[in-house]
Amino acid sequence: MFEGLLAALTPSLLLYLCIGVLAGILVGALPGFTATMGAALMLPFTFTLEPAEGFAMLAALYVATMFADSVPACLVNTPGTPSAVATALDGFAMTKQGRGQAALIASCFSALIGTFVGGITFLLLANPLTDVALTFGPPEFFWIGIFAITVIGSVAGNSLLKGIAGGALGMLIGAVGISSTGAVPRYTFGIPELLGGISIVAALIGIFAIPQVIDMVRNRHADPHVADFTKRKGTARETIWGLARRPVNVLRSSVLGTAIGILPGAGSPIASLVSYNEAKRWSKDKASFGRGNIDGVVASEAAGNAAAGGSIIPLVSLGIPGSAPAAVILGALLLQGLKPGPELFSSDATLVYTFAWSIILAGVVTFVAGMLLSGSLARMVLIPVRLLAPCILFLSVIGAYAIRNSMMDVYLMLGLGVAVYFLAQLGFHPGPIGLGVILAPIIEPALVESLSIAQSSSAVEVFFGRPLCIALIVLTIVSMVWVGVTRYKDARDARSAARMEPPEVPVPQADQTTSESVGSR
Amino acid sequence: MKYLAILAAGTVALGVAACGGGGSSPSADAELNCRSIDFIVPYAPGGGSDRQVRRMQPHLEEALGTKINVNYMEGGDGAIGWQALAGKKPDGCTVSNVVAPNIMLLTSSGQNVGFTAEDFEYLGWSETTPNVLAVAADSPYKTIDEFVAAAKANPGKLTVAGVGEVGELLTAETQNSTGTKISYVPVSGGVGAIVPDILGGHVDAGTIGAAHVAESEGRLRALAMTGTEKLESLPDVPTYEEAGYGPATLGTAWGVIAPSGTPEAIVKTWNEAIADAVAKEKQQIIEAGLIPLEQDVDEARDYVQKMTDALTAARETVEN
Amino acid sequence: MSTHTEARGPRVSIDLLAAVSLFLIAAVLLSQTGDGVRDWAMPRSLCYLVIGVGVVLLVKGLVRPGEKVPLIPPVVRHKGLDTAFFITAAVAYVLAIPIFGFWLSSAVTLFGLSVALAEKRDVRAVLTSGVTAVVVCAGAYLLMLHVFYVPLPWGSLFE
Repeated sequence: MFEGLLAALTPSLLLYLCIGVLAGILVGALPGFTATMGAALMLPFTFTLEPAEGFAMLAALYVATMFADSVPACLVNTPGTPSAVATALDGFAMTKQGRGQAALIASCFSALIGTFVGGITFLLLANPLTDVALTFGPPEFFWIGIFAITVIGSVAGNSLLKGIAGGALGMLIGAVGISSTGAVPRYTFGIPELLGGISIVAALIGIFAIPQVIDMVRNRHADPHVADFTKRKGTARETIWGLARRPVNVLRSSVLGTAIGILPGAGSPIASLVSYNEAKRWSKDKASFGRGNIDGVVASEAAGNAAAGGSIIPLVSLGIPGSAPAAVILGALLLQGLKPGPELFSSDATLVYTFAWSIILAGVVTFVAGMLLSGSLARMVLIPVRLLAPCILFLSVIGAYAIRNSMMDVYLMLGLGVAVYFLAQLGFHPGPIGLGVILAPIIEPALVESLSIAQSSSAVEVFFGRPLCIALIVLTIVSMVWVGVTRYKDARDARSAARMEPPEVPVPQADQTTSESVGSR
Repeated sequence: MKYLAILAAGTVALGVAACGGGGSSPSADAELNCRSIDFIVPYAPGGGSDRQVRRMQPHLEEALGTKINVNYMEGGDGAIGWQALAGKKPDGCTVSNVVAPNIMLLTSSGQNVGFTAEDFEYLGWSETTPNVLAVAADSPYKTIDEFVAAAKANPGKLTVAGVGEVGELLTAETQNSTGTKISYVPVSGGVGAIVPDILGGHVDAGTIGAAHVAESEGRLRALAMTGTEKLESLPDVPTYEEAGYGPATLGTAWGVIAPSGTPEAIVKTWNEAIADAVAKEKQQIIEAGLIPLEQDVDEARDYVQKMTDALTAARETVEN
Repeated sequence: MSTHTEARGPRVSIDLLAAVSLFLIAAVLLSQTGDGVRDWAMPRSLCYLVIGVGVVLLVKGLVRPGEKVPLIPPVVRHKGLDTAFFITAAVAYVLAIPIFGFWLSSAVTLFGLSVALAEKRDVRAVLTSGVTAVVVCAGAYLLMLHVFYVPLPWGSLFE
């Protein structure tokens, strides 16, 4: 195990690791560019490298992207990749309160811990965990998806009903294109370019960035900048010390993230959403989630990063990637002539351990980079809206186009964005809609597969007869009940508080939805 | 006399090798005049098509003297990427990976997919693999006969996973060939997503490319395969016909296409570059469980017909 | 920003409007929805769910109106002109790209929008807008073309 560490500490490997981190920060910070894309772009460069170096570069890119996607999420309420959707909820609220730098610091700290947990798990528990991961089949994924849907309760804002409808709309957006069976085009209105569906990334940019930009423009007389930022000397130290003294959240999120990352097909997006939900559930200050509670940022980011490390575990132990970026890394290893699997473990254990240590080291380097950059990045909120808004629009177009070099994605991005802006006016928060978009490709294929498997036995047995499914169903029901109870209690508390205070002029909900940030209620 | 003949043969062979394997610059009829090459891959990174392109990439760059940028345009089981290619200039600077029978399925589907079969010029095919019926190594079915027996004893109770329309056809072909009734489980996310389902025991078997079995290092067992050729990396696996069942023809092939109207000379340049790349990667291709293809331009075009016919045959057997 | 104190005209419950929007969306989608369990089960159920939520919102809007918003959306009134302007500009930008190319359209849009949105449209504002537009486009150009190899469209006018 420690030879692996020594092998990882060679100058050339560290050099490529740093290059990977740099590239990852760039990729993550630009909405529209995903870790998968970034890894695919760097792939040719790995041909001439040693397998360990090539892996280190790609893994570092993956880890750094999972951190850097929180930058636009916190600063301008636009997730840099789908894994940062939950981060934006509290991260942006923190920025509006002038705590943007603290948000970024929390994010890179969480990246450090999350990656560490993922890497250590890889080092120690790779094989037994992979066997467990295989027992998760389509029915289990279906229930995980449904469980993740209950996160809507946390992000829906004032109206749970509208949140539910929003989630449904998001899933319908995800339904555009060819169905999961591959047989039937859906909602393409006869346009062949829609056969490929609406790219998730383009949809998320549209759903989060565009309404935010329109808001910014609308409120620019009152708020010429996105938020205030004053550099204070001790921010970094305070933030980290504060987080280090309450390790439960970050550790729990990291473990959860690693576990979800190991499941083939579930990656950082689901990990960060579920972790956010759990953090809120176990927090003593639930009401502040969505309004700038740093624990929300920590939960989402730690899990997202841990999932990156976790998704590499089945890759190396079985040759099955746990996520899309991991699939690219698998491709890179195969092209190098390596065959990831138990044989690799036994024939070249040192190499495998080097992989694990590379992931951990990548977390460290990302942390350092994040700390160094947090101040300057947070300063971006001082750019006046009249310049920032057009720039975000510009970057959104680039991001939407870059996915598939397709203008159709750009049109859809803008169209969705404008539509969601108007929906937000009516009380539908973008959060649940984004959630639906992310979860649709998990839930629906799982449903279709499970129904097909049920042909050989029965639907009841498939969906309700498997022990893991039952556990997940119980969790989901508990979660839904909890959501219902909390919202009821909150509403009741709000009503009694209103009764006790002198009556004020009620601010219309429409304006509240638009002039405050998306997630901050 | 004998020695003279051998000497002559040897000289001729050497001469042919010197010309044909001419190294970096095959005697191209037309140089490519591109700033860089835009290579479309209509599937997700990390999949079979990606690997095909990445394997060839360094050799193609060398042979064509131009940098290649890979552009992933996923969606519609290839439709999005091929639509885009159809609209590009036929100057050899934009090409795309192509997968058969997937493209034939789209063009013969009767729907508007944004392109037709006539929109493309086939530059060459690089590799092919038969499709196999695979089970987990610890599955109770050790041979195809055992599987068929179980399927016949319990019609509709065995589940077989597959991806997309091709998967459905493959499974139907299997059922037809063996005279059984199996439940089909459609999986999304590419053929690779079937493997965890098989290994985890969630489905009884899957119809996947032989390459996945070869790569799995013994974790997957192939019971039977389509086509008529034997596979070097899976020597013990019989074809359906060898095993005594009806014919099953649907395999998968990967190639490269360009927009129609590309000048013949450029097609030839590309074809030679592809053949060069395949020759250099032959060993890796075989180890990956695939069969390398080395064809000239006419053979490539004939191959298109061959794959189309295989698809038609598969559809017909299924409909009867 | 409070628009409802200035707005005139009929006012309607926000929930009512929301419900109508949901019905509209569901109607369009359902008209395109086919049969066949495996392919349409999920979208169909989702449409029904949306309609269901719409019904509840409708009832809520009629029985207990809560907040009311002007029927004619502020967007088309003078305070909302900004929003309308920005959306129109964004749409025009995106539609211009295939014709004029990405870089030209972007430079013009970046410059034009940041000038239009300025509080004081003086020389200083114009200068900063110009510089920003140029720098951002140049930087993005280098990044996209040489690092990421994303070939943004040059526009049919130039090809």
